[in-house]
Amino acid sequence: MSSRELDDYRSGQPAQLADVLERVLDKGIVIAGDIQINLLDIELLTVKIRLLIASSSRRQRACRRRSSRSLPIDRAHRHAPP
Amino acid sequence: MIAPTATLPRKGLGWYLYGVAAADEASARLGAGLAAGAAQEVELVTEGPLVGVASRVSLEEFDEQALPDRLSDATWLEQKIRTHEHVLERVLEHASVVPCRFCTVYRGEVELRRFLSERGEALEAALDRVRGRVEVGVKAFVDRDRFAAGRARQNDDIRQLEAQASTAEGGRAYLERRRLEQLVASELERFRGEAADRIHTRLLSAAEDGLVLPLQAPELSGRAEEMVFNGAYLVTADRVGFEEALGSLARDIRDDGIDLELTGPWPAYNFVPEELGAG
Repeated sequence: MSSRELDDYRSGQPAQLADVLERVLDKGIVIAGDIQINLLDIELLTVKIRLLIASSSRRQRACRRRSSRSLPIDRAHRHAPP
Repeated sequence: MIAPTATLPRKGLGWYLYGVAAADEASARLGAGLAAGAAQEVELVTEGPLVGVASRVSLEEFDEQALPDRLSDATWLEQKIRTHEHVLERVLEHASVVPCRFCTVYRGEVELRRFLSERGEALEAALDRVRGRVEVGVKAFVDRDRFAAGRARQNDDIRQLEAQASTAEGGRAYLERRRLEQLVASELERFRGEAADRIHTRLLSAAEDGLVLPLQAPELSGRAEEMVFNGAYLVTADRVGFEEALGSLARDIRDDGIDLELTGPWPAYNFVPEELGAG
């Protein structure tokens, strides 16, 4: 297996935001009862969050094409081709 | 270990629960100092055989009414989501953990402790399932050029049309090129499903469990190539058998134009029960 294919696994770098989002927002145990936030609302909001992240990624790329200025969300896209 | 709370009224603090671990594993190995972020301390709330991995947070910040606005703040959102994942990854280095979903916030310690004791049995069952195991993610992307040069040529029509197009001239050459592109595209469409099935079957046989996740849009995946598969697998913590299977699969499908990307190890988000009600 080429090193590139296992890069992500072994580099120990922060995971891509998309992979974190699809887990932290959509998965993990949901608890009913004495909690502060109604998770049903959160689930509806997930769609909105996805759109938000997607649009900020697009903005990010547009930004990067125009200049070399680096913004925080860049690290989520370190594998993006130049 | 308790975060400074002088600036906030006591009743304004709740508990953000990241996940639940076994007390014997977590308390002994984690000890103090699980730094969640610059401003936050992580505490272990022990209740019987279980321990809640949690931080004191401002209830105002995580108020249900205020949340929609917070969620539109990309910086706030990314920071909180990263913190959630970072804390659980630190725990996972030392102990098995049942991860909670984003923004699981209790109004007080009493409520958090009640959850741990009342739902103890279900939590311990969930912990048993993930003990000694981790989740890994596998994503597959297709490189269209390599697909067209390799796998697509197994199709007789494509090979024939390629031969014709290479000898044709002028307008006819253009039309045949177009037809060839269309044919390769429809072959790729067919091949995508076949490749996804093949990848999942091979990987599942080397894992304890596995499931197919929705494909990520290019804006989210961060790659220009098209994603053809996205899966999550529950594997033994050493990951040896799974990595061997993955390596052999990657070699087998490389000539078809497919590259695999491995992520993790993750807390087993995809392999814990979704609903864990208050009973």
